Amino acid sequence: MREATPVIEVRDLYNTFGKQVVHAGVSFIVKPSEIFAIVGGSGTGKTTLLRTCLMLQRPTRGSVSVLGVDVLRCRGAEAQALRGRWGVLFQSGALFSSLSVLDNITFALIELNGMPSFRAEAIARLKLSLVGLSKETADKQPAELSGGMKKRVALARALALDPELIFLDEPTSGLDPKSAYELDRLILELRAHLGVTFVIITHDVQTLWRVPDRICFLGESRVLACSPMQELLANKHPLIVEYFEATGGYRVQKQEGSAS
Amino acid sequence: MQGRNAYRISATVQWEPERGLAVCTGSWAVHGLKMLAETGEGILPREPTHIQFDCKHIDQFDTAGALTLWRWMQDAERKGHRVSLALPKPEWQALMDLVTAHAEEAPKRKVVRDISLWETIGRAVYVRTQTAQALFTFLGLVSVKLVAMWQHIHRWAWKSGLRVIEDAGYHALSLIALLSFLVGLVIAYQMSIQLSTYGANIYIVDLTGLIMLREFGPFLTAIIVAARTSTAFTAQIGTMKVNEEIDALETMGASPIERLVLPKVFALLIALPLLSVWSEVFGVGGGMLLANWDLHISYGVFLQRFQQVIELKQLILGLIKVPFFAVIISLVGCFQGFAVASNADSVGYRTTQSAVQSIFLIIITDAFFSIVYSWYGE
Repeated sequence: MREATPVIEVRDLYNTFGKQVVHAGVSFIVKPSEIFAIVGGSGTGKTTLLRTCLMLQRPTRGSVSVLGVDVLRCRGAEAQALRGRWGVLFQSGALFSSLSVLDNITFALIELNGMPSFRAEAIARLKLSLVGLSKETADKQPAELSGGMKKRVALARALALDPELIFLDEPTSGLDPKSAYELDRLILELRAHLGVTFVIITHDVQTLWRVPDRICFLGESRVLACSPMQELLANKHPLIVEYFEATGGYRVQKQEGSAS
Repeated sequence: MQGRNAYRISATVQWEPERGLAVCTGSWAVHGLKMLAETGEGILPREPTHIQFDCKHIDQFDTAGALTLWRWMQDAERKGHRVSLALPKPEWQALMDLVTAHAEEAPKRKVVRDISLWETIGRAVYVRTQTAQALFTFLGLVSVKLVAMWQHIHRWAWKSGLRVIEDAGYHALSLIALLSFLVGLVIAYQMSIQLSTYGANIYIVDLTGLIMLREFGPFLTAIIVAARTSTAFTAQIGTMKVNEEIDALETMGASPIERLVLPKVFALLIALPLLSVWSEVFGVGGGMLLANWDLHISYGVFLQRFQQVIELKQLILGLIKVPFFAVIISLVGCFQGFAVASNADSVGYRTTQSAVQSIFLIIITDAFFSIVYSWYGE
């Protein structure tokens, strides 16, 4: 079996910008092959948390380790190796606008991994098919794609290196319900086949029901709850109740309940 | 997947003819596939036989490895072999099934066509003509908006105009002063060598004055502002276009040309003549300093002579050109900005084009004015 060390371990994280306190003692762990969702209202520091894990931003204090590597201390070759083991889907896709879809996906394979281009292209086409895009998409430019297609291409790019850990920042926002459902299925499938660990930031209650094993609720600058959806909805903390009343989380629960 | 970075042994295939096994070893994962050939040519036998791909000794297996294995098997089948596969782990088999469901044959490589010299020239001419036409269309559009604007003058974007005057004018003062001073100095130096051989030292005043006032003041200013500001206009409007901000303005009923282009045109119409005069002062100052150093003409004598020989007409002849330069700089900058397509390369390309085209047009216009002046004997 795989090692029991957590994939992500965040301990006592503090983030302050001037007078604004974003995180005050955030701690959680993500287990191997787990699908871990992070939710919370706007401005509760979900994206800041993600950026801290990705070494894009240094926290005020605290410790963060990803895939067994201390991201606050590591640099050079170690940091580079770590970056090859995760994939990231940014909220807006962040596709390289001057490269074609295929080149976006092969970029890391060819430029950073030295893979011959015939193989990189074959892998890229496979990944495009995996995220449900047709062959014709490969030669398009990002500007020609719809919002949902951009997201899928970005996901295919995040999958390019077969990462052990994938961060998804609002993967289903801007997708139609059917595409969102397919994307959720894909996440579950990838976890089942490849044992990939996922960290998902989302506001999509449907996704929250379908996909994650555990949900971490951020509020009041800390983790208010970290549990499966069922337990989270039973939590009577006012912020959590408010959030799920507003997003219709309780209603969806009823539908799911009647369907099963 | 555990300990993935601990070993990255390259994926290999060895053919064992006596058992009919293609033994796969090493890491069949994204990090281990660099060296492996595209197909089994040269490794697997030529004559049709039964090949079993033996995967017991594979260390790591991911979608990249599964895909590579699938393509090897496809290729072997196409060459008439009977192919079978033994995967030691059920999750690998699941992975293989997933890949098989999505994989496709290698696409045909696109053939890159040779382009003849004539085609290159033809295309270049076509593109230039199109650009010129589009630029004139843009000029027309701006003119129409200019006329339409008088009907709602209260909506005019005064503030953004003033900002442009500050950025393009006020902030350029020190740069233009320094460069004009240096150019004045250099020109006066070249002339002083010639003049002193004829003992015609005092004519340095006439020459420096005429050159700076009629030509170099306006011209140098226009070139500097074109490089500084026309590119800034392009980058600003181009980025707005990529962010769909232009569309946002349009849907609010605010004409992008009225909000973004006209204030820039007016701002440069005001700032550029002022900058030209500023540049002329420093250019002549540079000449004056050199005349004092090299030709021993005192500042007093220089200024007295300047007043005598340089008529006000010379200043005006120089300044007449400046509004044209201002319009060229602002229009080309904005035009290239609107021509930006939604990708990062395009912003860079258009910004370069903006500097090249505005400087090109400034030189053409300046030459045109020289011809016109010579017709009228000025």
